[in-house]
Amino acid sequence: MIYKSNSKIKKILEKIKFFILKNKLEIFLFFFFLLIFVIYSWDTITDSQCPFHFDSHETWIFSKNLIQNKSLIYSDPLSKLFEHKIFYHFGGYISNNKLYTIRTYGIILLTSVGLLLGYKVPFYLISLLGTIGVIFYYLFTKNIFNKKIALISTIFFSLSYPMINWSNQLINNVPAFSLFITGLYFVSNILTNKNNRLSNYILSAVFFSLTIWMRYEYLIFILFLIPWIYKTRKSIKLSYFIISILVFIFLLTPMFLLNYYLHKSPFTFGYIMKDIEIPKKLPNKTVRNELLNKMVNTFLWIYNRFLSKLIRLDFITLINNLKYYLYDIFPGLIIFSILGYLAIFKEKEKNKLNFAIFSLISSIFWIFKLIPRGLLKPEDIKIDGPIPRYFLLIYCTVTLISVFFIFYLSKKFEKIKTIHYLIITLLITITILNTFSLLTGSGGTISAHNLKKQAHKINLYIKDFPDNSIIVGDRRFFLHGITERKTLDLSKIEIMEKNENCIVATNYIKTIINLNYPVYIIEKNYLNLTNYIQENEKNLVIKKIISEDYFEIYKIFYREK
Amino acid sequence: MKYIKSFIEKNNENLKLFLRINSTIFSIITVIYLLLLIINQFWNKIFQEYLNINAIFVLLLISGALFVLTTFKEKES
Repeated sequence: MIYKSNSKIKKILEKIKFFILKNKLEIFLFFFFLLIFVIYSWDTITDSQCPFHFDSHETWIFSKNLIQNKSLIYSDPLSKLFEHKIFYHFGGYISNNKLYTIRTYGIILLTSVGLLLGYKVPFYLISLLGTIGVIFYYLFTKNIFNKKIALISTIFFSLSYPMINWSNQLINNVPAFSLFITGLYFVSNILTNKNNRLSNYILSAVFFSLTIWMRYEYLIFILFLIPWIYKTRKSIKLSYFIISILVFIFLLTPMFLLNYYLHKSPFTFGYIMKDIEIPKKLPNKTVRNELLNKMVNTFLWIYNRFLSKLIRLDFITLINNLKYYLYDIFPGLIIFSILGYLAIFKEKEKNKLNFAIFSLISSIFWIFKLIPRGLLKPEDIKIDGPIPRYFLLIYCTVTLISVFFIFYLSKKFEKIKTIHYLIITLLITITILNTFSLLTGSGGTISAHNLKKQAHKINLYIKDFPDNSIIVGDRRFFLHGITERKTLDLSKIEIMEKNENCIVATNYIKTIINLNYPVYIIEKNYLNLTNYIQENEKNLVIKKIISEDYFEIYKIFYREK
Repeated sequence: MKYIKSFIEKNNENLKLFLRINSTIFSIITVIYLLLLIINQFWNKIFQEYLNINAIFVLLLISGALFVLTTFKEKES
């Protein structure tokens, strides 16, 4: 019996060994992607997650509002009582005392779906989408180049600072990029003639439209695919192509309907409504119809924002600024990507060349559009600022082309293979060291993680406060991380003189207490309001109820007579 | 163009030698540049005071471009 069972175990072990040896790469990839998901959701796993970022807080508020009031318009009845918009301290634009979002509908819907399932789910969804993006990035690069290049470039890109940092935040850049790269993978199946089924056409249309739901500017990158599609037009089935375009338009239609419902024009988004400068310039006499007026304004806005300022010849400023946002994030790789493009254009291999043209057009356009026009200095650089998260598409092409060049070099230096391995080892070391220094540096992921942990702690405390309590604070200190109760932002009282500012703030607090709302003040705030009230307001009592290293919470109420 | 062609034909051997040296220089500079970048991660003052890493970057770019463009020509011939 023992002999029999031993032989059975041996057989099973042999089978497992055979399976592992046969699927080495797949098993490695499975664990690698699992690790990526853990890294991308690190803040959520460690209970340090909250919508701390200005944009993510707006997304959170509108998503919550969508669930509670089934509306994309946020309205607070208390707001009418005060001169300053102290309850509308997150993004968006105000019209008729109502707040309209400037975030995309996609991220709001995604967060709402997540919130229905639980507090942490929206954050996990972002991390999951980031991981899916990395998986499809691998598959896409495998289609265009080969397995080795795909593997190394995926490791470089997925472990880069921008991907790690922004996959841990409730911001739409990573989901939009991931959906776009997924769509690009299905398109590459068609354009490289690997799989010309209808499903690929439909899936690419679905993912591209979802990308636009997340971030509108990706429409430009989809349009930049036209040269590639034109060059490989023989491999495209026209009937399938038309079906995919129809699916694409059909899936975008609800977005235009929402625009019409909210802004009375199908092409006007919240972001455009916020930039009201351009509509003002338009003479009203020429276009009287309101709908047409808004549509013309939208196209003028797009022209002003994307095209008119695009041409600039100040290359010294451009290269200086690019150093901070490209070279400093991928220090070893940039040189190889430049040479990689040269190599691709020299070799003229069809798929690589088409991809290189697409990536080059997209990168140049996006760099010219986004890189600041003024000469930046090291102290001006905010690595946690917007540019690294907008540049995800550029970063992924840079890593891909540079890894291609490293393998290109290995072909040329066939006799000295050690150089090839040495370059790869050095590059991996540089990337790991650089990512680590960016993550731990000032404004990096670690400091954001610590701040979010504090805000999360505040949320846990205020959960016990009465449901209708109002937390008074300053959005520069923790207020944006608070999700559990209504918040009042003191920085919205736009009076420069501090004493006068305190008087207005105290009057507002008194009004709210008179309406029977429990009021709490969170220190720090730039007014040092608690001290002012203690010294000048004898009717009010301030009682410290929570004290931590980084913040204190006070309850404020009228003194009993 | 004529002058360039005749110059290349006349100095064909010398140019080949130059390109071979360039490819060796390119591989050496690549490794040195990457090593310097690693040093830069730990001790970036050395580059601010004594050495300009951007100069090596430009040198690497030029020799790399020459390497990429000429290896293809060799293959063609």
